Amino acid sequence: MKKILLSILAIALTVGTVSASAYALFSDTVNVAGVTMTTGNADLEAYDRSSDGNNGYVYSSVSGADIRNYFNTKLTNLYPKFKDYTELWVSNKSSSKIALKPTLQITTTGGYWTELSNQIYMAVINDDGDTLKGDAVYAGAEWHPLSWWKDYERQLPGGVIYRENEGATESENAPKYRGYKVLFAGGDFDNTLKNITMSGLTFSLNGVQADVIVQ
Amino acid sequence: MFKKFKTVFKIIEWVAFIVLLCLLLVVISPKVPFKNLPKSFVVVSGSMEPTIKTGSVAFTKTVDLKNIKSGDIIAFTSPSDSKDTILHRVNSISSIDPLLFKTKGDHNNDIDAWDVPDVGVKGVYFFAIPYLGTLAATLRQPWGFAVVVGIPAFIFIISQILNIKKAIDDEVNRKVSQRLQETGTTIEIKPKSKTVLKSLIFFFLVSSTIFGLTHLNTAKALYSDSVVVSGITISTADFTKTPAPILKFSLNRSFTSTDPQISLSSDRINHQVKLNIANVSDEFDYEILYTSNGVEKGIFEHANINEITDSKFSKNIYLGICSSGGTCVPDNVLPGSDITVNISGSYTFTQTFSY
Repeated sequence: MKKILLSILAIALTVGTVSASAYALFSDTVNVAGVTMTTGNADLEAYDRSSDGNNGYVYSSVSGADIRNYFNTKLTNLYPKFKDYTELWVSNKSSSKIALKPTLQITTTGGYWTELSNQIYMAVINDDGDTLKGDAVYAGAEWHPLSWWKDYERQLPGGVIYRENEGATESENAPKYRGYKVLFAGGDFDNTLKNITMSGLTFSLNGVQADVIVQ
Repeated sequence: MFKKFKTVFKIIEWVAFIVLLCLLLVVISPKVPFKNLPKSFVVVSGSMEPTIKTGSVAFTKTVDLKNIKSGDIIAFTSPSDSKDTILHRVNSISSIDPLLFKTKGDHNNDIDAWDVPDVGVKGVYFFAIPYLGTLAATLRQPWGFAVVVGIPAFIFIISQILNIKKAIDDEVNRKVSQRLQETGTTIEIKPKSKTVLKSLIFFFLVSSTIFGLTHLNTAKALYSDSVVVSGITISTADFTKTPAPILKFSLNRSFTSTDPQISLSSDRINHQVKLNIANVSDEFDYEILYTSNGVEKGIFEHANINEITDSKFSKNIYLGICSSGGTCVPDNVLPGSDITVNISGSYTFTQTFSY
């Protein structure tokens, strides 16, 4: 008799435990996140973009040195209240099925950083379709002095960058390439800051694995 | 032969029991609220491969933070999202006071952009069990749950139903035997089996282990990559608030008091120059020549008689292109670069100024 009762108890326990576990794991009302494994590597690349003459664009990989040259031609002989921008295109070429969360930080500084870092302002806007021109580029930009960009990694606008072959077309919300405009503006500084240079700045565009998993 | 098989089965049973017990201790220990017990994390991404494979369960132990050195793998709260735990190797110690660590995933090309503060460190990695995390992840899928839990539970229930049937049969047999014994007939009564109790203990171990596995914390060996742009230079020009016109040189000009006098002032903030010409009484054409990003640009216009007042002509000229909608794109005219003014028509001369 004891044996029968123990077996009935075992059945009741099994049904109870399996049902409770299934409820806890799969019920909509209990928030248990699933685990998704990702393998491979992350690869963030910078691109130069030119029109292919047929309503499309040709992207060619560029190095950090190339980007430096774009920046440097725009950032010499600055004067108060100047405004200018340079473009930056990036792509997620990771072999891992991951989306990358883009951030930017100034990691090394030099020269007259102390004097100029709070006088020169920078903003980054997302312009995937390269639609903004003229003064519209600067409208709504969130300006911060260069010192702000050095303090922490700053998340770039426009959200995550999907893998190149898994994003949608450029006109849709999840582009293969993410286009940024890096905006610079001068404060209302005076001529005591003439002819000085901040040199050896390093801009680190970082792509960190985002929670969004590309299945 | 049957006896040998029974012995092997018993050994397997014991091994399974011990493995389950160890597994249970391993997965339950992080849930026990003691600070110095190891913590475990399912590693869900592979930036620490090949040291820690994706799908492993990694274990960390609590150590004195001052003893953490370069090369150690640490679990820490993500500086960019406090909900995440990250497992990366200490690349360097960027600051002693406060204690800050620079980290890097073994499989990543670059060092992480953040500094990990000591308060964020959850422990130092010491070993990992491969594939255990994958099993845990499988359990969280409906099909995985059905295969790993549902089917064995179903088999267990069937076996228990068979046990009940057997127990009823045994009970009937025993009652019959007792009756027969009372009548003097000798019948061997089988000893009571402990199968049910053993099954219950086994079931308890399996269900606890499954519970532990499905409630493991996850840690990300986060992938990352960087595009580093170094060597950027930002320099300021020698400027004044209201730049004064600088006559650099002039061509084809005589300087008598009755000749037209030209001056040019720069308004770099508004990307324009102000052209002033005195001693003029007749219409003329003027051309402003300058360079933007290495490309020569020119603005050619006509000065009407009604624009001349008291023998003076004055006009602000925007250095750039404006659309009919009023949107203007300035040219990139560098301070100090040359701006040449050509006057033709009733007067003819050329002068070059510094912007």
